[in-house]
Amino acid sequence: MPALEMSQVRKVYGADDQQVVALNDVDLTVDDDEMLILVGPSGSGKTTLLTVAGALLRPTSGSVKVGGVEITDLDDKEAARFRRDQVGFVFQSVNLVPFLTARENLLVVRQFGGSKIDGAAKKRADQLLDELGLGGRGDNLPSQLSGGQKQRVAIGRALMNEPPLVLVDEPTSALDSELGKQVMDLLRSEIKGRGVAAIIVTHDDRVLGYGDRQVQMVDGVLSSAAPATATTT
Amino acid sequence: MMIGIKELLRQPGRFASVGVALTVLVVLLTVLGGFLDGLELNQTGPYRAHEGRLLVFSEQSENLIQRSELNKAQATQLAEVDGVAAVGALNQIASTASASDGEILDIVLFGYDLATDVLPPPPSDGAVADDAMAESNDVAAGDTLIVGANSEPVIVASVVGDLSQGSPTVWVSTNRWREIVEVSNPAALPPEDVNQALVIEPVPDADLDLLAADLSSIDGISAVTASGAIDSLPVVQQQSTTFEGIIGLTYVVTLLVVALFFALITLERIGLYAVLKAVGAGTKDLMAGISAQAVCVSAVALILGFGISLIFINVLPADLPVRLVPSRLGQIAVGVVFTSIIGSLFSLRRVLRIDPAEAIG
Repeated sequence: MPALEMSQVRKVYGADDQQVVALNDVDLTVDDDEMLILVGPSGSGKTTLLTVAGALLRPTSGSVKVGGVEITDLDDKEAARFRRDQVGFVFQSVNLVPFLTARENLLVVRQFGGSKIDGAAKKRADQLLDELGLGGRGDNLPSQLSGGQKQRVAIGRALMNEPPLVLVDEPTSALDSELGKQVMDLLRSEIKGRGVAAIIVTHDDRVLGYGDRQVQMVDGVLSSAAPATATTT
Repeated sequence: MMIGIKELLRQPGRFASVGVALTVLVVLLTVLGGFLDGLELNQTGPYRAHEGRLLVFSEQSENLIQRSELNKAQATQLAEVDGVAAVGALNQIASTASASDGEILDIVLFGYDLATDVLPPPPSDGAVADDAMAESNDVAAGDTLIVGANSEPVIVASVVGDLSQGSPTVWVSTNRWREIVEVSNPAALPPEDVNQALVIEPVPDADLDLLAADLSSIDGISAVTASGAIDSLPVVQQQSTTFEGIIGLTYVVTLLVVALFFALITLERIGLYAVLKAVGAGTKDLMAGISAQAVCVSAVALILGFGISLIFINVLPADLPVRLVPSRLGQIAVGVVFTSIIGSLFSLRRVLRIDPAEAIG
């Protein structure tokens, strides 16, 4: 079963003469262990696609299924639960909670909806931090971490709840070449190692080779789809 | 909730302003409450000494002892009602007393028949003195008080606490009271077999409210509990209305301070809350964190506020009627925490409107 199926998805902002079509009858399928690179110019609708796939926005029309479950008709509470359990987000600006340590930033997604942080959750957080090369940084606040380390904590947070779908927005935009490469190597390793699906939105040409497939979006339309030319790790 | 507590612990400076404001408000509430309780308790000792009894007044007296008169026939009628174990007289008159130090004090002289949990049986010849006199004039058991305009000597048999009625009180038997009033102020002496008020001792396990209703059904009779008699006192009503108005206003200010603070802090955190919503937090999770912060800040403000109030009240002149009553402190604690929670919930509308999609740009 595909991790993500988008069918005839349309997202329109504004009304009447002010309408902007951000997604124009998009069809997209991402397999359950596929790493998809989504490229396109600014304002082409990449981020809107990511937000619709992650139940952050409802499409104007069309169908979005994650793991076979239709998510377009979820209410706010169900959508929050879906995002907590089924999707991992890595944001462009990292967006860690500034007053929580690296470990707590991973654990934070475990405590929503009345859940408790148990020993297994703490063990998983420590294990993820180790895998991400942050074994000794678990007690550091984000302000005590470098840009690359923060990005790795953000990746750990996205993977903490073992989601089947990870959505990544411009993961290297704030990193230099070396750090960007390190982060992408790590991201691919973690995502492929877990067999989960991922969509990575990017402007960065250096990222293109890390995906299994590359899709281009222009003016809300998926205008091309091609296998990635290279894969590195 | 954990996030809210962690923020409070790691960035306490962010909450300093609301903490200081709440502490000042707690001090204000505690001192105002202390004055209200002090004034009320200092006026109502004789009534509170009759807890567990009923006080009976004539119907037109509005439960004020100085306006009330009850005759022997009414007393007999009351004694025959089911649930009544004993009926005793209670009379009072404003007077003066001089202690061994020679200072002349304004007192209220009571004549009574029945012992209570506070008052011992009326001494056959002596008097029970309020410990306000013991504190201010070193009056002790065995001392002689010179009471009234005709200098009637009364030997203090015992000293009992918390009997003041604005002035210190002295308690003698009804017979002795009549003797003293007869010589010092005969015009104020009720006729033979007439008393100002009566005290009803109920049978064990009697329901006081039901018994009061039964007794009040007798023509010309108004029977109330001790707290009912206190509530009827004009001085208590006036003080309560005034102070409770100020205290209520202080709670409103507390509510506004907390609401404004958390409204501002929520505006600052819109980006953070959008991220938390994006990774699965519900509005309930975020509001639980905000309310937990409000409760913690209130708890710290209460501890500091009570401590500061205690110090402040201790440096006030001793003759100021301020009393810290545990029930009042409990009421303030519950009131401040509850008000803070309600104040923090004013941010709910803003939190509800935060769009998780903002997290992703």
